[in-house]
Amino acid sequence: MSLLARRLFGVVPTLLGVVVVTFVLTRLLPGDPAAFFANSPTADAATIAAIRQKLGLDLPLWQQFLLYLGALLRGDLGQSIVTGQPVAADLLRLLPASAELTLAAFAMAVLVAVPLGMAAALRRGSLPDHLCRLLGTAGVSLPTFVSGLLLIHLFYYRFGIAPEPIGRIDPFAIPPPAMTGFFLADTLLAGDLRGFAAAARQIVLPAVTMALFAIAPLARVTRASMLGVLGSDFIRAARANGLRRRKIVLSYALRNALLPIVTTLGMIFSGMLGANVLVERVFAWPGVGSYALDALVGLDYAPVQGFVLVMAGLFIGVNLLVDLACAAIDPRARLLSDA
Amino acid sequence: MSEALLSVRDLSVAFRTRGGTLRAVEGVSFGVVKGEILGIVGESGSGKSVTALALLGLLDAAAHVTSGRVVFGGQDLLLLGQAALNGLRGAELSIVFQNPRAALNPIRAVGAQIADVIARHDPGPAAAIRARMLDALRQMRIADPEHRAAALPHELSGGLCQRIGIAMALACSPRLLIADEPTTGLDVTTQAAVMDLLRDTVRRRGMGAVLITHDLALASAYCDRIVVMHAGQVVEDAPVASLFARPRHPYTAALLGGMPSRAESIDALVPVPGSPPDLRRADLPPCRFSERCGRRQPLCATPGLRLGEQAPGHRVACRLPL
Repeated sequence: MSLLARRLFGVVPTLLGVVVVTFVLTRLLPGDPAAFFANSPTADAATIAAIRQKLGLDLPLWQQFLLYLGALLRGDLGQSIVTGQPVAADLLRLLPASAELTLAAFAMAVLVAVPLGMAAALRRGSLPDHLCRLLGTAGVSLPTFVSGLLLIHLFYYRFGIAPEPIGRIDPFAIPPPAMTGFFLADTLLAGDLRGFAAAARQIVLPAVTMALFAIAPLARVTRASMLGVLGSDFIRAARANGLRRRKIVLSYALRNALLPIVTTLGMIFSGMLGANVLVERVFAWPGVGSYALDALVGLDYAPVQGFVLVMAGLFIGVNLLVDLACAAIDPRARLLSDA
Repeated sequence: MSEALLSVRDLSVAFRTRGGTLRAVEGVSFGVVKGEILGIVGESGSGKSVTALALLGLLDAAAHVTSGRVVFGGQDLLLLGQAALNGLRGAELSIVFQNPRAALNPIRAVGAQIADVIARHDPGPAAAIRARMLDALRQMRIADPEHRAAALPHELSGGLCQRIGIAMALACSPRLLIADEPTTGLDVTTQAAVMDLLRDTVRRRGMGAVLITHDLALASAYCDRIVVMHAGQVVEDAPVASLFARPRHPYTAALLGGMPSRAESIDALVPVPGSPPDLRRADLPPCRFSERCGRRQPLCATPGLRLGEQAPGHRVACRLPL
């Protein structure tokens, strides 16, 4: 497992870099948080200075950074000025909503895009091939906030099939007992089928919006990768040896085509983490994306830094998983054994 | 004459291309009997490989067989359904490709790939399949088969990869083996070792084999009979001795004149003049060599050119044979 150890070790400088960059970037933002926080036209300079001192903003930048770093090491992400809660607690509370949405969209994208790309590669010029091209173009040319609004307009406003885009459940409904934090899982665990259906109805539109954004690159890469492998000599040799089509496609071709697909999966998952911010806003989804956006608008440093840090951690984690998956798929690399 | 194994009659293959229909193979006929190694020799683009792929039903989508019969084991392979043909491939008739490493799945152990073929045609318990796989490797004189079986293609030499490829092709004891430039890219010593092994196995098992090559010297060393192809047509079909003693077709004669072993010095090597015609032309002459031929007469432009027997077993497609 030397690869794992090496990769984990490499995470440290990356995380440190993220901490520095987010710290500096948030300090470069225009506006004075102390003035903003005072939030009163009558606040005089003394009040603002007092607030600034209370927030530690009067210290030199390097001291602020060291204090921030020290707090981070203790697991303290700071205090949100807007919610008045510790940022770590806020993020932990909101993360399941975002994770549920992202994972649902990711699963949707994979289940649609990979078979679609494979079908397109196996039968060029067929219906799946055209569909693949259409989705590819649409996915690239429609930003998520446009496709999200479009879906709301069609399915909620026009056809009335989808529920109101007001978050994870009806505001008057009681949320299921929290076990995983995922409403879809929690309702099922509680045996609440009606609750499950309600939660599923809420998540469909935002998940589809995010999935649409991911399907395009994934289907395109799957198609191209499969086409490349299907045209190679060893596939012809496998056919010449009479191997069954199923075996050739699933075991010989797909496994060889998987490397670029897995790499793309990592990229689109990371992209989805970013798309989250917009989709959550459009669908009033109470996740970390909305939280970070509110904090950013309110010049609330700590939640923004915490959000970026958590996202960066997820990015790094996803990339690590992708590397390990690639090593598992391709024995040529011999990455998992010591070479 | 011994039992005919494969009989190809009047096989034609055309490709749809942007520049029009490309008639890659035109009226090709030949046969293979049991225990015989037939060489198909020609320049690149002469239709050798296309002929082989057509026999096995492995042509790509742009190509289609426009005429002909390919009788193997009493049935016409061109009329067989995909499923039936797929059952024959690798079991009754096998092919070995050039570029041995590329013909192997790069991320699957070579032994597992051979086992896949055995399991496909002859299912059985895993232990039995593994034993047969190791036996197939041993027959190709691969040392330490247990260890080699676990290797990935990139860990093996080109010669070893080709032996794996041949072991795979022969694992289910086919009656006919087609070897399409099996030694391209291998050094001369390895080439001889692989070819010796191939010949010995074919002789020992009483199989038939087709060796496709552009290398006349190689064909003369390992084949019993040689079919010479030019621009998609068979121009001459003769036993090796007869062909080399007295080539009847001007193209064969020119090819033999260009063989290094025959030339006294490098200056005496004579390349075949001109180049093959563009096979997309609509006005291809009946004899596609005629435009390169120094012996051309008005007679050559009349249609109906066929292979005619000039000597016992020696047939040539020329109006004015040498």
